[in-house]
Amino acid sequence: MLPEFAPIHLLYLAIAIVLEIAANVLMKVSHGFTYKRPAIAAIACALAAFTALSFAVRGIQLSVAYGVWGGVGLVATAVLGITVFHEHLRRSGWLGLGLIMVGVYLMKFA
Amino acid sequence: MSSETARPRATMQVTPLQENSVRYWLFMAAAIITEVIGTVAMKYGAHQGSRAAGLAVMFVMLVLSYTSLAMAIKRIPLAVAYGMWESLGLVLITLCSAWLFSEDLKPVKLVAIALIIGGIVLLERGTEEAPASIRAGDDHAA
Repeated sequence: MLPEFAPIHLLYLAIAIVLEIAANVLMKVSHGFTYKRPAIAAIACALAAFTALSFAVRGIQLSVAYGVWGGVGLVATAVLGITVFHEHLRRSGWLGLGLIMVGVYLMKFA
Repeated sequence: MSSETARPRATMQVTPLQENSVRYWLFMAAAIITEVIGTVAMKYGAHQGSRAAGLAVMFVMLVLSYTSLAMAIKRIPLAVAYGMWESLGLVLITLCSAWLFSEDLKPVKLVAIALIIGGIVLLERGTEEAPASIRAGDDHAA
């Protein structure tokens, strides 16, 4: 954490994560950029997510912010994939989810 | 004359597979490098008071990054490409942050990064697409 850290930076990070999840879901909907419209929407969401991230890194170290952002975004995307898109996680997938969560926790509170 | 024209065609036929795969991995590398450059420029701009310039560089780099990712996944599976993009990006950005912004590289942070990368790889490999029947059912319902 940087000296200028304030709760507002966590809010920016949260906004960045929500936009990242939207981008990931749209990426899935675009079936690997096959459908152009969701692909373009995904890129727009990702650009907005990085913009929010740029506000967060004023108070949070870039490596921490990027790690937490990517990790939480992937876990939430996986959960949405299971609940909304009927994807199935093998045991290795669940293990991966667990590892990411432990890693993000360590990154944040190290 | 005819032998000269036949020769390049023959080499094209021998190595199309190798040429193609190398090209797609280069797209993959370009996607990761542009992502890292964009993110570092954004952080640099935010701290040097030239936020707009940093953001402008980041936008250009990210659009390039997504474009090369889209090219790469024509041949590389999306799960592999996306996992690499996230995990290699995380490693390079952490190293660049330590080098350029003198952020710490404590052992706990290194362990955390290793766990996140391991998790990304397992998550991408352990996810199965929904069966086609369920997806078709969704389309009918919509």
